[in-house]
Amino acid sequence: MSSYDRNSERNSATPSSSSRLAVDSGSGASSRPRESTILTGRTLVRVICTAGSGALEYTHAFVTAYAADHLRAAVAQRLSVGAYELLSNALNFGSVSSDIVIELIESDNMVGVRVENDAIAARISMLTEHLLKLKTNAEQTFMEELRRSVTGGIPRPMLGLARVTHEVGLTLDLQVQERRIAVTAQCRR
Amino acid sequence: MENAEIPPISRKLAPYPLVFMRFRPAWAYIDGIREFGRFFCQTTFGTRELADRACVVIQETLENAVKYSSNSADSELELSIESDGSNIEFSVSSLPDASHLSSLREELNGIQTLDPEQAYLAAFIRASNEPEASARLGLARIRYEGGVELSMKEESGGRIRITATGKL
Amino acid sequence: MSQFTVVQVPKAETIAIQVTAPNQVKLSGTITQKDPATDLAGFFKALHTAALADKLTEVRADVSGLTFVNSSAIRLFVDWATWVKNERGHRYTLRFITSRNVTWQKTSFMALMSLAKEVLAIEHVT
Repeated sequence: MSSYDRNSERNSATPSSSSRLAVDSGSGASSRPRESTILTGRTLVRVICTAGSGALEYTHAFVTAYAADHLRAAVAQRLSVGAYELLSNALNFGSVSSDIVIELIESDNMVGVRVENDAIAARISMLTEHLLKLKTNAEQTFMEELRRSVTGGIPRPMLGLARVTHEVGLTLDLQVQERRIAVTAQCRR
Repeated sequence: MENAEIPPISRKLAPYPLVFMRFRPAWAYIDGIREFGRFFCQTTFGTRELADRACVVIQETLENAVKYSSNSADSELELSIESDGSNIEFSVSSLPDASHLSSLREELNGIQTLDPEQAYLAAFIRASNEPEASARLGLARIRYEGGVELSMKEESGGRIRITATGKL
Repeated sequence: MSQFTVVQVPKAETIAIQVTAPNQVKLSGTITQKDPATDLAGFFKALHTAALADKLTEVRADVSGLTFVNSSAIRLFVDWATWVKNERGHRYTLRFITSRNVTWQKTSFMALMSLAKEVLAIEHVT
C-alpha cells in the first residue's frame, strides 16, 4: 500500500457527524443488485481545482482519458458522463469560493467518480430533495427535469443527476458534512 | 437521510496533494500527463513560468521512472503535485529495477555537489566527451530548468520516491 | 548540386521538418520519444556531412517552433555541436534560430554556447 493510501485510510477512519443518502441506479425500476455501499478503495486520480481557476473542463477531459485507458470502455464512458454532470453541479450549485475536488476511485468490484465541494445550506437541501425524488422514481424525475430543461422554470432544472442515475445507470451517493458535500457516482467495474 | 456514523468526506492535510494519480509505467502516458500538469499549474497558480517548469520536472522525472521501472505486474507509478502556498513539490513514486537503484543514487549525489547551472553545464560537457554513453542530462535539467531541488527516499516494498521542490 | 537539400527528411510523428536551400533546416512540434536518436541522429549527421561536402559557411537550424523537447533530444543538439567543433578541416557555423518565449531553448542553448562557442551562434526571434 502506498503512503497516499495510508493517508487516505487514516482520514476515513475517524467517525463524524456527517450524513448520507444513496440512490441506487436501479431505484424504482429494475432488479439490478444494490450498489449503494460507500465507495472506498484506491484513489486512481485526484485533482483539487481551486476556486475560479477554470480548470474543470480540462480536468474532466483528463479524467475521461485516464478512465478510457485504465477501465473497460463501457464503464469509462459511463463514468465520464457521471464526472461531467457532477462537476457541472459543483460549478453551478456550489459556493463560488469553493475548491472542487474530483476523484476516481476503485475497489475490488466497483469504480466511481466522486466530486466534493462546499455549498450553502439551501443548496444542500435542494440537492437532498432532488436525490430523494430520484430515489423514489428516477425515470419520472428524469422526465420532469427534461421537460423543465426545455420549458425553463424556477428553480433551475437539475437534469444532470437524473441523467447520471436514470440514463447512464450509475448509483449516486451523497455525503454531507457541515457545508461540505461529496457526491459519488459509481458502478461495477 | 441516514444519520449513521459515517467516515468524514475528506480532510485536507497540509500540504495535501493538489494532484494525485497512479498509472502503469508506460511511456505513452507521459505526454498527456505533462500537458495536464502544465495546464493545471497555469490555471491554479496563474504563471506561465511555473507551467513551463512543471513541464520539465514532470517529463524528466516520469521518463526516469518509466525507463527504470521493474517489469513486475504490480509495478505502478504515482505522481503528486503539492503546494503550501510558497513552494511547489512534485513527487514520483516508482518500483525500480534493483540494478538501477545504486546508479540513480550516485547520479543524484553527484549533481547535487554543484549548483544547478554548473551541474547542467557539466552534464553537457560529459555528453559531449562521451558520445557513446547515455545522455544523463535529465536530472541536471530538472534542477536547472525546473528550478527545483531533488531528493530521493526509499520506501517500503522496494519503492522509491523522487521529490522535486521549488519556489512557486 | 547541393547535397544539403537532398538529405532525406525522416518522418516523425510529433515533429515537422523542412530543409530549405541552401542551408536551412526548420524543426517544429515536440520531441519526447523515448529514443529520438532513432529518427533524428542519422538525419542530423547527414545534414552535417552534406554541409561539409557543400562547403557551407553556415547552417541555420530553426528550432523556434520546437515548443518542448526532452533531454534525450537536447543531447542530439549537443552531439551536432560536438561534430562541428571537432572538425579538423572545413568548419561551418551552426546557427540556432530560437524563440525567446520558449523556456527550454533559453536555458539549453545558453549551456550549449558555453560548450562550443567557437562554432555556434544563437539568434533569437520572438
